[in-house]
Amino acid sequence: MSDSDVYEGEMTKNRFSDQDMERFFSGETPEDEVLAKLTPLVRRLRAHDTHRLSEERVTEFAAEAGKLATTIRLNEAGPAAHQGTVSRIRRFNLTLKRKLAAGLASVLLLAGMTGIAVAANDAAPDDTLYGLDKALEAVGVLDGGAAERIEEAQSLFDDGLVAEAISHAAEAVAQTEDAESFSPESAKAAEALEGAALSVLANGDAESLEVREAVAEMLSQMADWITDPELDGRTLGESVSDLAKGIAGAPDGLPDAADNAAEEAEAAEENAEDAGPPEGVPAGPPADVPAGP
Amino acid sequence: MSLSEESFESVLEAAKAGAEWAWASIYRELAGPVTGYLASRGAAEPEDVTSEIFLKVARSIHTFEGDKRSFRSWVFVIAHRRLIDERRSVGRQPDFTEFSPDSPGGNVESEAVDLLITDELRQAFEELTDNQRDVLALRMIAGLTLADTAQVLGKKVGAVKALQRRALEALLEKIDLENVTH
Repeated sequence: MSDSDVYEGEMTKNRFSDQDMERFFSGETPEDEVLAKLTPLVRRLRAHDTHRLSEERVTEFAAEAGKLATTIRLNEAGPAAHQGTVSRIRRFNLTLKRKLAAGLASVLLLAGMTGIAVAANDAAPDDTLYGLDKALEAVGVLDGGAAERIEEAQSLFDDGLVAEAISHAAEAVAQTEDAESFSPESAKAAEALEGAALSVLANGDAESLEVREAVAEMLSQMADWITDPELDGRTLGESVSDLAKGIAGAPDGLPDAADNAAEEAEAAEENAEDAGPPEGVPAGPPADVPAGP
Repeated sequence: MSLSEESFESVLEAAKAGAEWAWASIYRELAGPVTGYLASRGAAEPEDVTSEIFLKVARSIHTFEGDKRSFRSWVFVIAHRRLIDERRSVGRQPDFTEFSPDSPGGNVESEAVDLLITDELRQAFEELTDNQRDVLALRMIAGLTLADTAQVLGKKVGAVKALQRRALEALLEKIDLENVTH
């Protein structure tokens, strides 16, 4: 006799109603007296002493699981990305390469805003931005001209001109003269960008998660763009700029001097009233994510 | 404090990327109920098996898409299958009485299961059918819904309804309520 046959046969002599059974199993107090007596037992079982899990055990597991998940994710992304990238490479425009460099510079600025930045050249393998560091190397960012542009953008950012800083990093190379060259490093750069995306996402605290997710998505998008031979330099630069501004919450386009003054005045007022976090960055960890026991 | 639906989405994405804080959140949320479920179903080393299960979750999480409830259900599907594997490899039904909460392996995670393991209740539980014990453990200890329990066990909702009713009634017939709820 199957379980369903038993169910049909016994429908007429049920001791407890379906609703009461569900109240009981969900930990609410049922109407039936007998079930009500058992309910505290269910509640005690359900409240299952998670606070008694040793923090040492939790930390140990979290480290192991984190490494495992990262390894599996990178193993899956790496070979596939590389294969796709290699098959799409034709000729790589130098301007495209430089626009990518500008985009990566924007990412560094954004990382700085969230407090997770490490000086790119000093990043070590365990640092948050090690992946970005390698990506920058792959596209030759850490050489003369591009490094100077990063410094200029950084200076704007330090002065609080976020929109200008991002625009400068992403748009400045629009003035670069076109040149054509084949770059086998674009495959390496795409892989590095994907790795950087995972690194940014995996390293950091809950507080910066929202921005890191957006930055990681941007890096992944750039990894796709970098190997698209149909994409011209200007379009890439604009697309990266749009993504970067969206993350930073900056308005589109370069504001003029009058807008700058008005924005600065507003910002000063807001700072006086409420020193909250930058727009787009969560004020703290998700309110209901337990930080510990 | 448990994870909300809103924060779960962030935790899931971060866990997929390997963030340790996300895995810590997941472990704090579910390791206790999973260990309790395994212990109540006679797993030989519930803590060790729990670790195995969560490492399997870590290996497979990139394949999971869904909300908090379906994630909990997914974890218990993995736990239940691991339990079945153990039963098959041992070649016998697990002897519930062999689990001793006072043994060196009995530890803080099993304290909630100790509540179940009074002699009278344990004996009554053992006299249920295997399916009945599975259903009660998943509903009472793991806290799964009727639909999620059906999914874990690979049964229809109607069948699980019948099983839980019969299991509860059988359990109540065998025990003196005053003894187990003091």
